[in-house]
Amino acid sequence: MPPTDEQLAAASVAGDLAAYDALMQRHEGLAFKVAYGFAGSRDGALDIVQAAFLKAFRERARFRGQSAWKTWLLRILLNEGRDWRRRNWRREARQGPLELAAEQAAPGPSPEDAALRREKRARLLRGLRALNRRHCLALVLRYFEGLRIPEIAEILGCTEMTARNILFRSLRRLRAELGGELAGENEGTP
Amino acid sequence: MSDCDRLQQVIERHWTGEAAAAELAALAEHCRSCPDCRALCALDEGLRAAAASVEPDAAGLAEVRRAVLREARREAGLGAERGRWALMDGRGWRRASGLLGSKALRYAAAAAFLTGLGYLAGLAGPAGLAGRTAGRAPLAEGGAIVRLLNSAASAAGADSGGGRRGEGREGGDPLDSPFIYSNVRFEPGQGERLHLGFDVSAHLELDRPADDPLVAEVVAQTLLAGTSPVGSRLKATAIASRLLSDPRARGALLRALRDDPSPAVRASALAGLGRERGDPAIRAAVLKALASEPSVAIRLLAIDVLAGGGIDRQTLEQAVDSAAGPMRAALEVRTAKDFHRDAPEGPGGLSGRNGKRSESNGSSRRIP
Repeated sequence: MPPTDEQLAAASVAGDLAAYDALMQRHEGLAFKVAYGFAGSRDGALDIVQAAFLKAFRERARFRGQSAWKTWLLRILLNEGRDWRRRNWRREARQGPLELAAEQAAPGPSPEDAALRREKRARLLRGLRALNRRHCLALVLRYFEGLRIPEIAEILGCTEMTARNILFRSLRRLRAELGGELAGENEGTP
Repeated sequence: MSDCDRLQQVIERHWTGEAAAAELAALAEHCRSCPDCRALCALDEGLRAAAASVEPDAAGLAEVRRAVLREARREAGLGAERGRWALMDGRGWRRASGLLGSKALRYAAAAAFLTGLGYLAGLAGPAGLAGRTAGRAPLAEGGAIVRLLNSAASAAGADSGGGRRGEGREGGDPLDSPFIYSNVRFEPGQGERLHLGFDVSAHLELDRPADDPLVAEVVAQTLLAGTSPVGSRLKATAIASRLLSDPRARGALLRALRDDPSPAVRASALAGLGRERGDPAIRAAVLKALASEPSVAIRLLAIDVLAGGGIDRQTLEQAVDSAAGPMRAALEVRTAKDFHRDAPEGPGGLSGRNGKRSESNGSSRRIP
């Protein structure tokens, strides 16, 4: 049976770097997706993930097991994502569209459809990054990591009811941020 | 409870995959008449699609893990030095506080660096350093940093006696050094000597003239080493574009255009090289980018650079013809646009779809 996160974390506190490597491997996909939601670019996401893994390593002795290690890591990632945004908002505003266009040039069924999809996704990601930290995190955890309400509540440090409200408020804020650009699209109906 | 409140709960269950088909049908029906819920559902779907399209960058993450473990090993080995040095943002060594804060200390540190290496290499002092240290880029023979440190050592000799920090203090702290030694190898030398091999790094903060050789050297390494964050590499391309007469800065920009993993950096390198767009070597590199660059935005920029540099129209059209990919039509349109901007219509102009050229007189135009 593979060791749990908490066992690996304890081993890394004792100086076992292989255990910490295993922890990173286990959670790097999650970390990347969440960081991507914050940064909107691969380079930015990798910067955030690296900073978060380093911070988690340095603070590893402070992990007391009161929450899951994954939750603890996500909290660190949240802070690093916030710092990244604060440091990079100018560059993001200037370089974001080019980087997004370049990164999201995946071919689609037709050039027009692909271009529309890319443009829509870029708008969504820009809108997401314009939200405040808590709202952005709630949506990133829900959509990019597929976490359920209880897990989101634990990471946000609130009740499940509050987490639900935050999620819906975030969606409404995002809609306002996008200025109704996506509001009339019928494809959104389930 | 209003319809919207009730359907909010359905959306929640839809998130968790618990909504029944009948509930989803009711939600769809409601959305037809309620713009608010329709917009929320559209956002829901859009976010799902955006999230589904994000694939973790396995190679980048492997690099991140290696970097973190490297730092973890370093920190585990340095122990007490943690308080003095900190790896900020996980991207490079930065001074946490105090150390090398004054000019005299910086000189002293540089002198200690040279003197220490001189001792280790069995040399008399810094004067012989440039001739005896080989290979590693920051100390490459004749490199600007060696010249800088040699002059700093001379200055420090006057300012502080040029001694090693902590030297002469009883029980001096062995970690009290501004330099980080890593990848260390010890081997027995001849007689009583010991052979040491190591990488050494230090953080310095300096004000230098913009055209100082050290600036070009640092810029070139920032772009070529691939360990600096995107923000630093972008700044390096901007600085290098003003130092195109320096072969290192120019070479680094050419390499960044070809190899940098970030499209933003490649685009910035291309824009910088565009300042000397008439240069044959730069033109060749931009033509290559036009053929092989994965980003359409950068390929369009390459066309602008080439057209602005007076490239022969036929050459450019041939390059566009040979470019593969779904966006070739866009490249052809841009080519035609760039030429028509200054030469509205005439012999040799693009006509019709797919960039088929008029061969009326076989001549080609140059953009002035």
